Amino acid sequence: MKRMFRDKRGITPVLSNVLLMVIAVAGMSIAMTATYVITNNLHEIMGERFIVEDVWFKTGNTIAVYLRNVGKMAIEISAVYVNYISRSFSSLKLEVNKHSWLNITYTWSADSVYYINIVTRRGNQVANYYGASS
Amino acid sequence: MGRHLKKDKRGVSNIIVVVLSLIIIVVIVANVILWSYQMNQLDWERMQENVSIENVATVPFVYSYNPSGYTLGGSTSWLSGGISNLISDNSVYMTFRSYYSGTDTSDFVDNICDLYSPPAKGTHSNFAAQQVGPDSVYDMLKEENAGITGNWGITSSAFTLTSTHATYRYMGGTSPNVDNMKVTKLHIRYSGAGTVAIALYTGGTLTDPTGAIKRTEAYNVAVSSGWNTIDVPDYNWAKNTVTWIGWCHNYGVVYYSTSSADAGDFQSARGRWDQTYPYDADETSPMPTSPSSGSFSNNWYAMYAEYETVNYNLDLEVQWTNADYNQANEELATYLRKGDNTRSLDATGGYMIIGNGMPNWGSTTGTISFWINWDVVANRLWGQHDLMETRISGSNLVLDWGATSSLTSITSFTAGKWYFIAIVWNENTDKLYLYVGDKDNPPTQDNVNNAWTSSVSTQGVTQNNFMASRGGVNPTDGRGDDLRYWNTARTLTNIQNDYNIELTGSESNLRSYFKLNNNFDDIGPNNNDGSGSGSYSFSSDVPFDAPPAETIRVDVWNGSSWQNLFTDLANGWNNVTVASYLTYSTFTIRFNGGTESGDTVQDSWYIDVTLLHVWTNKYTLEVEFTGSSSTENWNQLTWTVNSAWTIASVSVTLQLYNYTGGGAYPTSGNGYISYTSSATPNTDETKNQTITINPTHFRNASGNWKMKVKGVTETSSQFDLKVDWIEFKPTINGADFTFKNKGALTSHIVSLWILNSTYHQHYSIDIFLNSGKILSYSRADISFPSGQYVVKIVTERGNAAVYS
Repeated sequence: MKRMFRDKRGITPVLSNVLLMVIAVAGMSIAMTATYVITNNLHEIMGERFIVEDVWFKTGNTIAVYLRNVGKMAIEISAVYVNYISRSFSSLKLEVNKHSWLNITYTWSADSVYYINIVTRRGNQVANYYGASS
Repeated sequence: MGRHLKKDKRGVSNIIVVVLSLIIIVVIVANVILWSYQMNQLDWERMQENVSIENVATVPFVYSYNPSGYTLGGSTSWLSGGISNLISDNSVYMTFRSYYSGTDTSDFVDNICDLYSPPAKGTHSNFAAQQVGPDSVYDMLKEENAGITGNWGITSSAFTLTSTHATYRYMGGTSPNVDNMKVTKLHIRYSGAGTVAIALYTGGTLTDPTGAIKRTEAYNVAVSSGWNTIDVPDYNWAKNTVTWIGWCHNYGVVYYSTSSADAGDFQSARGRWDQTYPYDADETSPMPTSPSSGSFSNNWYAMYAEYETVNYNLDLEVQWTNADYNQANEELATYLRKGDNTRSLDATGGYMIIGNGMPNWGSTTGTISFWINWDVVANRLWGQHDLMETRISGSNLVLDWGATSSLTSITSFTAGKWYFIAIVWNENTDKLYLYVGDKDNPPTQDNVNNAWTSSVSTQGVTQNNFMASRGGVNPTDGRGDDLRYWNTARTLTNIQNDYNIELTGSESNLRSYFKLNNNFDDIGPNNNDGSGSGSYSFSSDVPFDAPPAETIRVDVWNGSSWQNLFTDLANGWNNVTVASYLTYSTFTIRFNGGTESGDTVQDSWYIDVTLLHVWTNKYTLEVEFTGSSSTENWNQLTWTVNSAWTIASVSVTLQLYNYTGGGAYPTSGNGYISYTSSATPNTDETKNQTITINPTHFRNASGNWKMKVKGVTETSSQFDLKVDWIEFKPTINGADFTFKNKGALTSHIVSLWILNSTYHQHYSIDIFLNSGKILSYSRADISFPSGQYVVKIVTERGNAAVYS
């Protein structure tokens, strides 16, 4: 030990190694975190499934859509488009295997067909044509 | 290589970085691939799934409920069994007992009336007594003489000649040809004032009155100028009989005529008979028993006999003005007591000894009363000691009560008449009273000694006698009845209340009581039964309470005539149905004597109470059962009661409570069943009703229901209800679905939709259907809408199947 303090030449490599290790660990940590975030988002996006059980054109300018979450992730409806135009709707979050009505405010007409696109917060969407009976 | 790396320190780090980077990349890729695999698996399974709805149909769902509690109605009582016995028809019963619910009214008679022919005859003594009781307070119905009156003799006031004389004289003729005559008065036309003795005789011949017998008389009678009416004891006068009026007088003179044309009813061939002996007639003493020898003279004197024909009738109407005429049973009821004073003691020289002769009635206070009818007003009536006795002086009664002549009657007594006499004394107040009455007049105070300082309580007893005194001294001739001794000084009111009715012997303060009905028994608490001495007998001549000699009928007025209800009333209650006559609130009956012509006996009857007893026998049983049920939308309700009644032909109503409009038990239609139970008692009968219109009206929002069982009979028999089974059975139309799994995977059906144009109904279901299986699934809570509809199911994987 005493010799190590006397040998001025040995200090630089040590410091260099230590610094290198710190940098390596930090880099790995960043890499691991990035990996987790990336894979988790992929999980959520890939795990979303929901279906439209029923569409009911109700009196009072409402289209009621009954949704069921059949995926492996909770979903939250973030946008509803009727005939490609965003419409207001009642807030809806569905846990896995849960189901409920989603009420869309829209002045519909009997005997008309509407293209309804429901979009989740993660960007998944279910869209189809639905006819309003007279 | 290794050495190169070992020497090149920078190479190691690069390797580490590369390796680590590779690891990270591998992890990321592996993770994505794995997750992608799982989701693809999910999507693949969804694509493989294939379920369908093969059939949809409506099916009924029937529920059965039984009571869970009960409530007794009215006075219905529980006998045995429990609610648990009502769940099946197994002859294990829950039993209840009925209660009396009939109407029973006693409507006392309201008033006296005289509405219908013939006019009323007779009298009530106390009609109010009929309006309450029975309480031994009576209304005495007494016959009234409905006969005619007439005069026989000379009634002219035109005579101007007058005569005075000192002999007994007689005017004779033949009595009227009239049945049942009774002479009640004699009249004489007098000039000035004087004193008269006058008598009626029958017998002898028209040419010789000496064989005639005196029948009734009055003497020592003060008369004045003009016609004088002289009351004489009644005499039953035979028709077509030779009759004489005899008289004598003093001071004034008598009018007469010398013309035979003025003879009137007297014989015109001969005038008055002038008795030759004794010459000096005594008008203050009785007339001779028979006229003696004399001679006729052509003088016709102004005098006549007043008579009435005797025909005692009773016709007294009474009425109800607000009678209840709507009951099943309607009876007239009247409580009658016939007089039972059958005999009096007829002393003809003999007398009665009270007890052994030594009972001492000399109490400090006391009352002795009796009835007396003298043959001859004389001698002594009652006495136990020479200073406690009664005696006649002249025609007055004298009381030697602790002293000689303590009190003398004001009444002058006459023979042949019943008198009531009561002696009341009180040594503490120094009062001695004498009360006197007769058959027609209640007793009143005759005389009083307000300073009676003597005492009888210290006198002792020589011998206690009735119809004589102290050992048989001076027995009186006549009839005595109803001897009473009280050890208290009775008030006049008390005396008046019972002087003419027989007592029981147990009245307060009554010590000895002799009815003298053919015996000398003392029915009072002293029990001093007496005995007779000398010549005596028992007579049917009684002063009151005589048993009626005729019947008493009761008739009812039917609107046009009298209809007989009773041919005679018996002692005690007399009941007869009047349902056929009681058809209006006004109801009239009459008490009618059984003999209404030629009735010479005045009878009386005692009515305690007269009422209409109207009632309807009825027994009722009422039980309300309660239960609970579902609140679904029933389309049909069947309710059932299986029960038996312990008597035949009970009128039964079964009611199921209808909760709409405030709620009520229906009286017809749905929720109402009525029937008459079997003619055979204890027969199980099942009654039910199916309601298809608004069946949910028969339960409330909580599903509770109640039903009432009521049985009524108009009989006198109490009955029981045996309930075997009660069921409340609603029916609803549910849905039946047939699902088929055509895929290779087991499906989990989680949603069921019934859709039509106006409504989308979601039902959560939870069915696992294996591959290739067909499943029938029924739901009571699902009903199909009318018209077109679509059925849709959704699986957990998100597939749907539709049936339309």
